[in-house]
Amino acid sequence: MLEKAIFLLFAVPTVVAGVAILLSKNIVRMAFWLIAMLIAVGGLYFLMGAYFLGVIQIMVYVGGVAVLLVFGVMLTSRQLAPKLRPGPMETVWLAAVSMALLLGLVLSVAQVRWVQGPIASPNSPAEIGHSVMGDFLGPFELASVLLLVAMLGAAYLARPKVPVQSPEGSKETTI
Amino acid sequence: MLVLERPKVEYRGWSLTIVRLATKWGPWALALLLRFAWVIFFAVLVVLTAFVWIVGRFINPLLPWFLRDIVVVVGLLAFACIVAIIGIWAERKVSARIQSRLGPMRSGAWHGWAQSLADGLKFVQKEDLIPHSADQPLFRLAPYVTLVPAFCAYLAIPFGASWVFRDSDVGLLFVLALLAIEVLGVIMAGWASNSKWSLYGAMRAACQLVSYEIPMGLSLLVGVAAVGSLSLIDLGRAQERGWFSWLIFQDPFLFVAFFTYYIASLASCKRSPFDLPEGESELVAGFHTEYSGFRFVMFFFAEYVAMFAVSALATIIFLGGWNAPVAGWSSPWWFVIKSAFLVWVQMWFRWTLPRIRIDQVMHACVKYLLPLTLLLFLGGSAWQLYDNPAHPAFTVFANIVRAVLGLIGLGLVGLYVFGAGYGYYYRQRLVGSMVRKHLPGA
Amino acid sequence: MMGPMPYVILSVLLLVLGLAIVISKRNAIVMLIGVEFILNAAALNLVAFSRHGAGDLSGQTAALFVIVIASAEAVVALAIFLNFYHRIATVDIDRGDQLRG
Repeated sequence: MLEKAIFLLFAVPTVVAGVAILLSKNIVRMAFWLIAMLIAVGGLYFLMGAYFLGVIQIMVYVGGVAVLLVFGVMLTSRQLAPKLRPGPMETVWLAAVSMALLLGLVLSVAQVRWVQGPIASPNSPAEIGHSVMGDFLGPFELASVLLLVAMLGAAYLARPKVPVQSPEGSKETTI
Repeated sequence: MLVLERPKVEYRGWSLTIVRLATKWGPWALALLLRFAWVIFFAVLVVLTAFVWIVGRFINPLLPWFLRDIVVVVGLLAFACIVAIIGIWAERKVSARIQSRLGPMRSGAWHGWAQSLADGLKFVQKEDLIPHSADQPLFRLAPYVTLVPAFCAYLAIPFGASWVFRDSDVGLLFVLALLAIEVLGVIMAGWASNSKWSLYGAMRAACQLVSYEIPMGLSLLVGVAAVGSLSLIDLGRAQERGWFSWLIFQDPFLFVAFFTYYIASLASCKRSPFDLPEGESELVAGFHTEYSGFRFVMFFFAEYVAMFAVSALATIIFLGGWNAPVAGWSSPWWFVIKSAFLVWVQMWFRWTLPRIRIDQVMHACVKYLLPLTLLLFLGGSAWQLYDNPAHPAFTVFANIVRAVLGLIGLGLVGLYVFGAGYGYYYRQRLVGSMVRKHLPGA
Repeated sequence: MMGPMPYVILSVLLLVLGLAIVISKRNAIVMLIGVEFILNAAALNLVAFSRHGAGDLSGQTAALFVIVIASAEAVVALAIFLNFYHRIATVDIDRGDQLRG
């Protein structure tokens, strides 16, 4: 009972956040809704006993990725009112495709006969460490190389070097 | 006696009655309250302490878990509030002493100790301004997003081996994660104010805090690698055998890591010399330029609560937590005293060092602090690899290093005590005569 | 005791919402937000199955990798979008229709 209540406490905000992002017009609000969703998913991890994962979710996603996203939004949102809302036909198509996907997935999920395995007990970070350094050593090394490449690529891409072209004409300035 | 000329209007309704009574008796009540504020304050403190003691001693085993949790959470909230109130007063006194002033001397009786309470009363009465062009919901939400995570961090911080709300396997990461959420409130405030100064402050906060989280976490990981646990209780328990068993003296990498952590924690609390997000000389007040009244107080509180939280982490991981310098005397008081001392040192930094530029802040992090902490982490891990019975020669070397580091630590403490004593003894000659004779409480 | 079912349904919802966001929005950064929704849906599924189905930690470890990859992806994508913004002063992806730099 309590578990269900806590599940709803975290599950409802995730869905509400998604719907709010779909309907909202303000980009910064969208970014903050995303943060609400990330924290709620972190709470769900806690509920499932994956404490390490929940804490990492909040630390990396909320403290890092989301802050970067908000930063990017702040840097780019002062602009000439971009078209953020889909047109009427697009809305119809969007609703149709989303509903079809939702129905298909929910029906297929409902068809499955779930076999309840043994509930894994809440685990310590040490076990996850053993798992990462044991069975998942290859992916772990790959992920570290990926992070290095991503860091280098981002640093290379983000350096200011290009003459800016304003949207109206060909007037060029350098930053 | 305050005489107010009121228009001849018949008051109706309970809210207007309250207003009428407040205008009539408010000044008297306030004056009385402030006159006897110290009595009320200490009475509340005594009652709270007695309550917590009685609950802990007699009622706790009988209580269902949620009642116990509620009691502990209320106690932690009260503790955090007291930390913030005393911290704000101490900041003013420290700044005054560093500048050869007296600081607040009048409110309360002894050295203006009730200044924070009086300020709080003043702030509560102030008008709650929200700029017309502000993003209203976000503007209202931002102070809570800043304050609540800072409070929540106390849920995982142990004050003693059994004085903790919840001992978690990931306690350290939990506290760090909550301190990371705090950034969001600052960014939200800066954005929602719709003011250039606030936005600049928010941008600076975003850069600075995200960058400094990494050296901060890496410095702590050196300690975690030495003990082999992320649980704050385990980290504290590993340092039970007196001064020389404290983690900061365990190997040279940990010794340096304490200082890198301390610098990074200054930056992550937005304290000077890294207080760029609210640099008064350039950005009016940075991210909280547009805030007034109680919302401003919440930002202010959050700063001091977070200062104590990061100092508490430093205490637990490097300075032995609740353990005394002599084995076996451990008590929560040691933890509070050590953390308060670190907070105090943060205040010295603020009033002695000039603020640095934002590009210097980023250079200091990315070019110096980050490589240094990475090296420390590598070195600390390598030290753990060799510091075991399999390498007897290295163990002897390690013990010598530990003794030397411990003696250096003793020397530093001795130097501080000597300096403080010297300054106290020769204070007239050092600062000149401060005007103290005519002031109450001096 | 709840089975994995509620988590899977929630994950489906998150996936559909994320897809709808990616499809409907023109702003590149908001599309990135949609991608984060989809990745979180996947990670939620992995953790739920790790707890209720497999009973070991492989799902949680995989979710950890999802977080790592998502952060790397977000950083690179943001760098690209900032570059994009520097060049044509908008983040409307429909305007990025030139191959010439």
